[in-house]
Amino acid sequence: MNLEQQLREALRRPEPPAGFAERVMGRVAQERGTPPRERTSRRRRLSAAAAVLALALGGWGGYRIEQNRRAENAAEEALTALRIASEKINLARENIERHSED
Amino acid sequence: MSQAAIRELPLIFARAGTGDDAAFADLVREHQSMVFGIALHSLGDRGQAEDLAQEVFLQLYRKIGEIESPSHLIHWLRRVTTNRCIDASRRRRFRLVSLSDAEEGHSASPEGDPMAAARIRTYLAELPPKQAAVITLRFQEEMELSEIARTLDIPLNTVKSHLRRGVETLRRRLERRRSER
Repeated sequence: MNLEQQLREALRRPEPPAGFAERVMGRVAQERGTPPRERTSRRRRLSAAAAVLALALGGWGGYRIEQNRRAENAAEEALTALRIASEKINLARENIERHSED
Repeated sequence: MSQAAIRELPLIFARAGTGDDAAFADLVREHQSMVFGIALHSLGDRGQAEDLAQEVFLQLYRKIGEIESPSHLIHWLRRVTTNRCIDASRRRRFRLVSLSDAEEGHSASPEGDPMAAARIRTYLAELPPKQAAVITLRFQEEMELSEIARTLDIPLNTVKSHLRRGVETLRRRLERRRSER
């Protein structure tokens, strides 16, 4: 048998695995069986999830801003307290020096 | 295909075009061995061939309204299947084609050597994708070279060159195999 005959022999159409057409029709039904309403509600669920995510991110951002503001206020108050304490110490030291000169 | 089935094809095709699922299932059964065969011979892997063939029929389901006639349907199925096979082969970095994969689903003919046939299918799936596609369409589908050129949308001379190179590579590999034994 020459090669061309061998090729014809080897490349005869094979049978697909059993149940092939049924599996194709299953996928067709799956694709067609997704009603528009369900597709819409899937879109709605995605939109809702996106909105919740945006709110959560926004809330987290707001919380972080508030935390930063409080930290800045606390630092500022601490600095003011240190400044006052330092002024009082200086005043006390001046009083002591004045008394010791007298 | 029986004469009765051939006579009924235009009717089945027309019914499938109107959304009749039973008629579409008949179309799938009618053409499944052609589509699956092109995929199996080009890819050499039954699992991948079945996945690809299913995708082709799903695409057909979506596009059935654009198909004009039963002969257009056959041309469309061959073209879409072959192009998908070429794309799939190019995406694969390497191929692992086992003799058992190449052998399954093929019934042995009384005059042929089943091992030699399986070896040809294995070597075919290892050829460059377009050479494998041209050889599959030529010898599985018995298509004329000009028809293959139209199906793959490539010049006739390119088809001839793919066929000549592919067959020559197969011949060399088979001879080398014979001389090793």
